[in-house]
Amino acid sequence: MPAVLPPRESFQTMTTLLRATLLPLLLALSAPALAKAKEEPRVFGWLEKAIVMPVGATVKMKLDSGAKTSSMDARDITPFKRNGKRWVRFVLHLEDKVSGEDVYRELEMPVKRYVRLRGAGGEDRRPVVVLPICIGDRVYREEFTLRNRDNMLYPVLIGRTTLKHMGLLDVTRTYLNDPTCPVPELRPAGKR
Amino acid sequence: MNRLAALLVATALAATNALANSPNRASEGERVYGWLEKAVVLPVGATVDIKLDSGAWTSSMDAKDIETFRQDGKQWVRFDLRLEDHVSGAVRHREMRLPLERITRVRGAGGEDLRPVVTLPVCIGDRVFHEQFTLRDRENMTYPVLLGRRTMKELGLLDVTATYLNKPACPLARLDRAAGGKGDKPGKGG
Repeated sequence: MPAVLPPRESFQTMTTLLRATLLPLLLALSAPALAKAKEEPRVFGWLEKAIVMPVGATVKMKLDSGAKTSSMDARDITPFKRNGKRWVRFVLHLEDKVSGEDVYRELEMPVKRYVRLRGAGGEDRRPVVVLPICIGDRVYREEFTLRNRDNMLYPVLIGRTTLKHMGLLDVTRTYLNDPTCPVPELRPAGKR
Repeated sequence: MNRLAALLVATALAATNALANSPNRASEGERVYGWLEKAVVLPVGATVDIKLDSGAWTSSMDAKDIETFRQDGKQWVRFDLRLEDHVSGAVRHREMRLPLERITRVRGAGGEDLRPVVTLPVCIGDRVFHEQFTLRDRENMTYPVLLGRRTMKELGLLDVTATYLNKPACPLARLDRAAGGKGDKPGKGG
């Protein structure tokens, strides 16, 4: 390809040339910038919204670097045995911040493990289950301790084991990543 | 066509710029801290482990024999700072008397608790921060100092996959001045 246009070329050839030279140039210019932008880690605020996938509810969650394991508000937590394995039955009862409605669903899941929690009121054993949760544009399958967080401001608390899969934390900001995962069809609230 | 190409260049550049500066991406040169760091608690000169806790608003520090009292019509706090210095292994302690900033209400599993708040200088990275700490007997806790969001917002971004990214390295002259200052006015690092 000539670096300088020959004198008697038509306008059309010129535009073709422009297209031929400018577009690759443009791509070459933007490619490193795009690649670099991709490398920069994602940043989350100390509060974010997430979709708790089993109930399709959008909730507020607190990103807590002081906690190791994530935890989720659950009611009627009942351990039981199934085929000799440890399972737990519990109710997710959350307010969907999008519709403003309460969503409700009883779940039965295998217990991953039990954690011992040290609190002001002594020790406590809580079951840990794996639950899918949408943060930003990704569904994360994360371990949550189940706990009645009724009197807490946020029904979901994200600890370091989950934060490690996400990115960096900026405690001066909130709600930097809206959850955008498609939610599967759910039965109406209250029906089981 | 010419104009279209120019427009394309402009939009593409704008788009890449927007991507590079998008609010949920870290930008180059931002300071990053691990969820554990070391800091020097200046009044006793002890280097301790601190836990960066985004779940807490106010920072807190282990203290013993905490008492509030009145002097010249103002509220003060008397307490003992007793911290193990990670550099020498020795326990450093000093009785402190500082003006009471305020009292915080702490909600815990065991109900509500009232705790005094004072301003104390700590060295994190290469800066001295005069920060508010609630005082609390944290004897049974792993880390004597906990940094809440109120302090972390002066620092930078948090990477929970990392620990000890910033060694405390405040100039000695500044350390002496900060440690010796008797409750000098609270400020943001220096």
